[in-house]
Amino acid sequence: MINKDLNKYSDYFSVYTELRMQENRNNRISMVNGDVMGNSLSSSSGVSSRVYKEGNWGFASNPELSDTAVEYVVKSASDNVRFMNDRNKTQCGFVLPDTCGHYEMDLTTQVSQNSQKHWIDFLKDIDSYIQEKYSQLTSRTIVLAGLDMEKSLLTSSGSTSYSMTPRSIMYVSLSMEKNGEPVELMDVFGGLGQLEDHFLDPTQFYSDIDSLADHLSRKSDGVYADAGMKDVILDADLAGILAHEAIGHTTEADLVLGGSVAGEYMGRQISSELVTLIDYANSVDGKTCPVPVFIDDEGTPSEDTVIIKDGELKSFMHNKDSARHFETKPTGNARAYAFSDEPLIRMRNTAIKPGTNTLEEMISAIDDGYYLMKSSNGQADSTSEFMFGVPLGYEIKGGKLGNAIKDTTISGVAFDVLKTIDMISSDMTWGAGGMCGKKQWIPVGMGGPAIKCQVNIGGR
Amino acid sequence: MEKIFKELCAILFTELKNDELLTLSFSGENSQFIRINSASIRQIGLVDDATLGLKFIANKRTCEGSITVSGNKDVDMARGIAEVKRMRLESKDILEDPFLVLPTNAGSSREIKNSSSLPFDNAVDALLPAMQGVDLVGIFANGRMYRGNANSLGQQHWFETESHCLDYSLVTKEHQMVKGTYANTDWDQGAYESYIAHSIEKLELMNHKPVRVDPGMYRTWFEAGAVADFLDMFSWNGISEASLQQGCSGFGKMRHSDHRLSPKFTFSEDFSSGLVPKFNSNGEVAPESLPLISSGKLTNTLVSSRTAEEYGAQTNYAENGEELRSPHMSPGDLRTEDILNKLDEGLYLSNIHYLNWSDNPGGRITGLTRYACFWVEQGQIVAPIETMRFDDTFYRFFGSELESVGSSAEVIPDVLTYGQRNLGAITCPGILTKEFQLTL
Repeated sequence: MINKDLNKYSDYFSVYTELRMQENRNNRISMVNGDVMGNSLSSSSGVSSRVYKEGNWGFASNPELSDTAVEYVVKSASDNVRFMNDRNKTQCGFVLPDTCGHYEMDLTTQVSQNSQKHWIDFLKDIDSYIQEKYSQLTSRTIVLAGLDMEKSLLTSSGSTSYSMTPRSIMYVSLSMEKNGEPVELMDVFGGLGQLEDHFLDPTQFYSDIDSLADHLSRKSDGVYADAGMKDVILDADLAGILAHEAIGHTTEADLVLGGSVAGEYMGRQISSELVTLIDYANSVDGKTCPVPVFIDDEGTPSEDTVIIKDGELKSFMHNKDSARHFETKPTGNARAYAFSDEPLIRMRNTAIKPGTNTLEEMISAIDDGYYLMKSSNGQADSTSEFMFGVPLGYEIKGGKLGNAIKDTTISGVAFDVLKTIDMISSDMTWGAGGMCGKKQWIPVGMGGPAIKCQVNIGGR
Repeated sequence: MEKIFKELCAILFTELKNDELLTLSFSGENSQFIRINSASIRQIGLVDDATLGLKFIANKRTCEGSITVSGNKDVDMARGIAEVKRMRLESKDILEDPFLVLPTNAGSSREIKNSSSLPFDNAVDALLPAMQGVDLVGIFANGRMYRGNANSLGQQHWFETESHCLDYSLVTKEHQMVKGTYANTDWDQGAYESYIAHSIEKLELMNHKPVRVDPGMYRTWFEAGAVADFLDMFSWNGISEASLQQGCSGFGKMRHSDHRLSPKFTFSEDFSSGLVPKFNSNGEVAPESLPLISSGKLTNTLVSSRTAEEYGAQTNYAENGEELRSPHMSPGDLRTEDILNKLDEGLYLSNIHYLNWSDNPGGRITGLTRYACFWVEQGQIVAPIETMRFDDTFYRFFGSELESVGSSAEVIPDVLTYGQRNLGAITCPGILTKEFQLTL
C-alpha cells in the first residue's frame, strides 16, 4: 500500500512539478497439460518526479518509498531541468496548460483474497475438465494473470489522485493436430477487477471452453481463405485492434509530431460517415470501461477524446506538452506504466461507436466474404498500414455462415478500410486483456461493435 | 549494487530451513536518459532501479517472486524475508513441480566491464554538435547495468557493464526518415560523429522523390540492421527446443525433414563479446560458443534445463524462455565497397520493421520496408522506395536465394527499455539475396 496523500511534499516544489508514487503487483500462474509451469508473485514500487520549465523537462526516479526518496527525486529532476535551461534558452516563455483535478478510485476487491493454492486448484479444475472432455487435444495451456496498479499523484497545480486499478485475465489455449500440422486457438477472459472478482467458480467457464473447443474443431477442418480484397465483417476483437493499432496510434499527438499520416488529415473526411471513433476516458453509456482513467499522470482530468466524428478527423490525443504545441486542451491521455517511467501519450479505451445494425443483418448482406472473429499477432505503422493475424473466422456464402477458415491475415491501409465501412453493429464488446507497447507497456481497453467493410485477406 | 546484492544474499540464505533452496537473481541500472526532439534536448532523466528475483524450492515445489530493491538495507531485508516466508507457506500446499531443476554449485564468477564512458554531465555537450542542421528525434540511454545470481548452495555470479546507446531517426521535410543506433561501451567522440555523419549522408538521398516498386521478386541487399531483425525472429517460435517439441517452431523443417539453409549461413550463440553475462536466471553458465546453424545445417537448438527434464534432451543452459542472448552470424566475403556493383539492380534495405510470422512452420516472415530503403540501378542508388510490405521465408533468403554475405559483422544493440534497459546485441553482417518477395 502506498501513501494516498502526497500533499505533505508540496513544499519541495518550486516550478511545475509532478510527483508520483507507484506500486505494480503481478501474479502469474501458468499450467501446461496439467503441470504448473510457472507460479510467481512480484511487485515493483518507487517514486518519480518530473519537472518542467521554459520548454525543458527533467525526470528522476528512485525505488524507495520514503520521504528521503521523494526529496531526492524532486531535487534531481529540478537539477536536470536547471541544467537544460542553462544551455537551451530558445524555449523561454513556453508555459504548459494548467489543469487541476482530484479523484480517488480504489477497485480492490471487496471479498477476501485467495491464496496461490486456491488459484492453482482453480486452473487444475479447468484443465481437468478440458482433458476429460476433449481427449483429442494435443496441448492445453492455461494462464492466470493479475496486475494491480496503484498510484498516487500530486502536481504543483494542485491536482491530487489516488487509484488502485486492477486487471485480471485468464488465457486458455488449446491445440490439436490435423494432417500432421498443429492447429491452435486461444481465448481470454476477465478484465477490470482482481482475480476474486472474475474467477469465482471454474464451472462458469465450461461453456466458454466448449465454445472454444468447437471453434478449434471446425478450424481443423477449415478451408483456406481466398486471397484478395473481400467483403468482411470484423468482429469486436478485430475492429478494436484496427481502431487502436491502425488509427489510434496515428492520432497520438507525439506520433503526429513524428510524422504520422494523420497529421495531414485534421478536419478532413477520412472515413465513412457512419464512423465515430472515440478514446473513452472511463465509461461508455454509464458502464465502466476496462481501463478507467479519471485523472491522468500529469494531473489532467480525463475526458473522452472524439478522434473521428461522423467520418471527419476531429482531434488528436494530447498530453500537456503536445496541447501547448497544438494550442489546444490536454485530453488526459498522459499515462506511465511503472514508477520509473515518464508519462507518455497513451490510449485508454479506444473503439468505434456502435451503430444500428444487428450481426445477422450484416452477415446476410454479404454474398461472398468472411466473418473474422479473433485477432492474433499484428502490427500497424504510422502510415496506418496494418497487418493482423486472424486465427478464427468463417466463410460467408449467400448471406449465411459457411466453413471455418484456417489461420490467415488481413492487411491494408486503415484509413482506406474505414472508408469502406457500410454497416456497424449496435452492440459493444470490450476485450479482456489489451496491453499496448510504446517503449513502456500500458493496459488499454480495445473492442467495439462489429463492422462490415472491405479488406485485403491473405490466402494460402 | 554488488554490495547490496551480497548483503541481501547473506541475510536471505540464513532465513532458510533444512531442505529449502533459494536462488536469487539481481537486475539493476543507474541510467541517464536524454530525449531529443528536433536535434534539441527535450528532457533529461535519471533512473536508479533494481529488482531482486527469488526462486524458492522446497518439498519438490517451486515458488517465484520478485521485489524492488530500494537500497535501504532494512527495507530490502524486510521485503525479502517477507517473500521467503510467503513462499514457504505457499510451498506446503501447491502442486509438485514435475520438471523441477534443482540448483547446484558449479562455481562462481565475477565480471566487471569498466569502460571510459561518457559522464552524465558531459552527455549533452558531446551529443548535440554532430546533429545540428538536421531534424533528429531519439533517445540516448547511458550508464551502468548490473546482473547478479546466487543460490543457497554457495554459487554466486556478478556481471556489471557500462554502455551508451543513441537510438534515433533523422527526418526530412517530407517525413522521409533514416534510422540509426549508435552504441558502444567506451565513448569515442570521433566514431560517434562519423556515425551520425553517415546517417546524414543517407538522409540526403531520402530527399529524392520516392519511387513506387511493384509487388514482385527483387534482388536485395539487406544491411546488418535488417538481417538482425530477421535473426531476432528466431527467438520467437524458432530456435527454442521446447517450441520444436511442441510443434510450433519455424525450424521444424530443418529438424524433421533435413531442410538446409545456404552453406554460406552460419549462426551461433556466442558470448565471447562479453556484452551479456553467460549465466542465466538459474545461475547456470552457458558455453562460450554454441553453434546453432553451421553452413546451413541445424546443429543445435537452445535447450533450458527445464526443457531437458521435460523432453529428455541435453541442456545447454539456455534461459528459461530459450531466447537468443548473444547471437552471432558469421561474415562472408562480400566487401562493403562491392555491394552496390554486385547488387546491380534491385533493393537496398537498411531497415525492416514490424516483423511477424505469417506462416511459422514454413518460416515465412512478413513486415515492412521503411526508413532508408532504396532502389538501385546499374550499381547506383537511384531513389528511396515507398513503404512496401514483404512476405518471404527464411528458407529462401537465408537459404536457396542467399547469394553473398557481407565481409564485416556489425554489432546491433538491443535498445528496448520495457521495465529496464536491455543488455546485449546481435552481431551480424549484411546479406545479398537473388530474390526477395514484396507483396503490397
